[in-house]
Amino acid sequence: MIKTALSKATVTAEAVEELAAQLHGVVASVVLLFYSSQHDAREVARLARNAWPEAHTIGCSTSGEIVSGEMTDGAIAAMAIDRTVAVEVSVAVVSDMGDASRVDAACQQLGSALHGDVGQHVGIVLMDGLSGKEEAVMDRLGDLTDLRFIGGSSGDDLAFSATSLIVDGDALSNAAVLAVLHVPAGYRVIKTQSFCRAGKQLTPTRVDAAKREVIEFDGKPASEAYCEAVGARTVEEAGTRFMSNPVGLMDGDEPYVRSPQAFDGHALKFYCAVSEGIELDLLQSTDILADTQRALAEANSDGRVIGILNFNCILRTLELKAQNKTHEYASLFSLPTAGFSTYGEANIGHINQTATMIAFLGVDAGAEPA
Amino acid sequence: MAGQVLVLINRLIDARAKGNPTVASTTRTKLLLKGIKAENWTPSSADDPAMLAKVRDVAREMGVAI
Repeated sequence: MIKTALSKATVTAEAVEELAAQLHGVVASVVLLFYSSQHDAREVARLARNAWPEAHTIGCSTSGEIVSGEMTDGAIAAMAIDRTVAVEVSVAVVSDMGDASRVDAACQQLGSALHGDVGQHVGIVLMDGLSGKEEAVMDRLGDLTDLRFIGGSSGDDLAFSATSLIVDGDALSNAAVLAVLHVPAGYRVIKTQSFCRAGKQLTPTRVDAAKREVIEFDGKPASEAYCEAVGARTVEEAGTRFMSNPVGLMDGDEPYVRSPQAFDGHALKFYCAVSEGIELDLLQSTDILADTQRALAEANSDGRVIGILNFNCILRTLELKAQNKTHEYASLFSLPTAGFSTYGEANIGHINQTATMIAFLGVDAGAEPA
Repeated sequence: MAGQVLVLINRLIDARAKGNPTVASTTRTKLLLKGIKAENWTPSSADDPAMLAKVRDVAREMGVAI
């Protein structure tokens, strides 16, 4: 069983009490909590630990919460996954995201769980959204395991001041929480970014990876090349196109979106790192609702999905808010769903302007577990 | 000689995937995110020493002998 809950109570103790009441009856192996930064992380961590002492309790601060039928601000969304769905859960912490050796240490702690059957084991990764180090964590994680890690970067209601994570009673920052769930019935990954190719390419020929900046595209100053690509006469005009015209690292037809953040002189700063020498496709935004609906229908064509964890980019949420479509978006999730608006998404690597989701499967009545 | 970059990339992917197509696909994506786009290399591509070194470095980081 997977059950989700939402509390809009502003007093943290009341909120966790409400969540516990809504999740009553689930013998959980893990409870995930996505809480507004208006709640004190230490309080959330402590209260969650007390509310579900037999389960792992993990989560992070948000820039908005998501449950089936509703997107909120200032609330706490939760998902409890019971022991028939996730028969075993292993958790570890990368205590300093700037130190790659801590990823190795966390993976060592996860032990054999990290090398389980990829069809029955899925990783969840929650990272400090202000660390600027997500690429390094995901890169090293990918070196050390073949399991798929899906997740997001913590938010702080767009204050860009301090984000937090919780794990089993502790509150953390500049950290990443890793969890490996053994799900015998299996899972599916949903990745939807709602962009198509715009028909133009830009190749970074000079980058500053540490600063997530492209200095030159195709030998030209990045600002000039991006302006030309989007047909803007000024950098100010080009800046208004960032949301609808990011660039994508193409894996076949699948874009791994890199979102421009701002011009820094003639350089273009991104929300995630860009590699030198690999061509990027200019992207054009499409319809988030239609794409999400299609992705959900595909993922659940056989009706086996029993719950969804949704890590949705804050830029997508802002677009939905601007179009007054948050309710419509949340209503696409008729199955138990919980998640949050992120400062970056994780799916093999660190990406932007994407929703990455884990769709948990129930055992097919007519089949043995995978 | 030509095509050595592709040979090394394919060896890396095969060694990591051990016949599992899902792992082969995610490994290909990991290489892309590390700046190695497998589809840009063919059997007739020149043996770029920098790219050969990069693929070997990545293989080492991934714990794969190629």
